[in-house]
Amino acid sequence: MVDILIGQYLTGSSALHRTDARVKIILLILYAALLFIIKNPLSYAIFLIFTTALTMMGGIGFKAVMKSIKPLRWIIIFTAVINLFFTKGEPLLSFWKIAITAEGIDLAVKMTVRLLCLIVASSLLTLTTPPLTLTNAIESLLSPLAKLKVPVRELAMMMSITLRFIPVLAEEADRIIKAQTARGADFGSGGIISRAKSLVPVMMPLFISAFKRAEDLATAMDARCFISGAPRTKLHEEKLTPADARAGVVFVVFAAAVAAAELL
Amino acid sequence: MIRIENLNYAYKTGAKNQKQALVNINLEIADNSLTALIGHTGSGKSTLIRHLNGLIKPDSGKIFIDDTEITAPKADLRRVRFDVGLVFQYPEQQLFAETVYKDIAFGPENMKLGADEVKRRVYEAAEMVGLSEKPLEKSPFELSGGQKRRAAIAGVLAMKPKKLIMDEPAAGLDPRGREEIFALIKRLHKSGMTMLFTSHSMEDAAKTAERVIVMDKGKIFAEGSVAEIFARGGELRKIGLDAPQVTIIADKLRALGYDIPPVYTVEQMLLAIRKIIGGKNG
Ligand SMILES: Nc1ncnc2c1ncn2[C@@H]1O[C@H](COP(=O)(O)OP(=O)(O)OP(=O)(O)O)[C@@H](O)[C@H]1O
Ligand SMILES: [Mg+2]
Repeated sequence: MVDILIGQYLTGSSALHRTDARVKIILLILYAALLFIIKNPLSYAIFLIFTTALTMMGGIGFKAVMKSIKPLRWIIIFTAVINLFFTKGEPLLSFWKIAITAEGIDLAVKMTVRLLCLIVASSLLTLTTPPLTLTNAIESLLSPLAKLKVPVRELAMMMSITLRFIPVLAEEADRIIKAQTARGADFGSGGIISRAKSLVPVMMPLFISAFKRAEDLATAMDARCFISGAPRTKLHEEKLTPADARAGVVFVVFAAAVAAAELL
Repeated sequence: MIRIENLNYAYKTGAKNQKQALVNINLEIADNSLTALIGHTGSGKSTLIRHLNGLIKPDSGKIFIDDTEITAPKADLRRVRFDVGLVFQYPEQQLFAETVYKDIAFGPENMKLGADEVKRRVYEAAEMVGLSEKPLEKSPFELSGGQKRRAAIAGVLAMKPKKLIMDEPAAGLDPRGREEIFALIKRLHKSGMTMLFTSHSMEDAAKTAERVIVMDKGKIFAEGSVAEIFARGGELRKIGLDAPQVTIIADKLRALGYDIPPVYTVEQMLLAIRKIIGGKNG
């Protein structure tokens, strides 16, 4: 479960890794928007090819991609099935009250491709961007909202502190689980109640240490005169680079290809 | 007996990245021995001992506990864990139950022992570590640091393992707490348990252990009796360790012409000095 949140990021130095996180987020939003207005099968093919090419360019292995798809497999299957059986149109096959229509097949395939592309593209973002860079980018993109009194900075701070401590807690959980296993604890067997009960020896120490950590952190922040909402500077000011320009150009070419496919 | 053959292990830290933590380890730890495992931070001590009751599976190599290969695909790891007790570093951080009693009972209950037997074992383990009846009904969080540590150790002892492995058992304790822990280790050893503990402290290793294993960068650097290992102060210094302070002082005094044999503990040093002073007086 922790993997979903942090185990995602894979170190690397591909063009995808080097592109500014803000650029990646904006391009991902445009990508998603485009994905939901296309109609022509050729556009879907272009999307599939483009997404595959990006994955390969980022040096992301098949395994990592499957890992991000797996938790959502039921949603994909469910959507496909619903579209397959419940789309009105000319029935090709029908038995009892259920009919499969040409339109149904068309829609099911399209929805599946859409979902797959969307999942893979968004995990490309998290796979090639360290979590903290990601929160910084979100903060930077949302900073205009600060004018509307939205506490963007505080939210970003909370997010990065959370992200910062997930690996620490994950490691701690791992150690506690091992320690209790060494005392013969048996996780993952028995009914729901006995499974829930078997978590107590792990959750209790984990909560205690999390609270203690939170308290220590608060004290340390106080000791260094942390003031909520004060303007802050960053160690690394993110400047756009040629890599970002290249990413933009690649995306424009891709969008043009999709537009051409749609208009043909 | 614990036997390790050609053990290798790497932590997988990413899709392609890994950190080789153990390199071709070969070891044998005899029954009823008292061994210290020393090594610089990150040398792989904790990783190695977590292999010894199957918490970590090696990438390659075999581990035998009394002729049972625990690295075999179908090894009964739960049984192994009752035979080989493992006390983690800062074990008090794993206390969880409402009372010390219940916490100590966790292990024996997992062994599916009868209520009477569990009770007997809890009292026995508490007594072994020097916790009287009163603290047993308290919440573990009301105990002092040293008491918490001992309560946690009792939790493992209550499973009556034949071999007990402790990771940095004295870390973070005050001098009295350390004394108590090492006295306990010696007592358990005398009662027939095979003991292995890791340590950063040459002093603790020298005064408690019979044998010493030195690790460096995931490899076994040296292995031998206390005297054999700490006679090699120069080599130890190269890997971030050293001989005990008293050994260094004795060596310097000898270089100055005093008739002092190699010593490894304060007691030995005292004897040697007494001899010199006594010799001059008489
Ligand atoms: N969960 C982990 N993931 C990745 N690498 C790890 C992990 N745990 C340990 N390591 C690495 O493996 C090596 C051995 O670590 P280990 O904890 O076994 O050393 P140690 O001798 O017990 O050190 P210490 O004396 O500090 O406790 C170290 O380089 C460490 O960075
Ligand atoms: Mg360690």
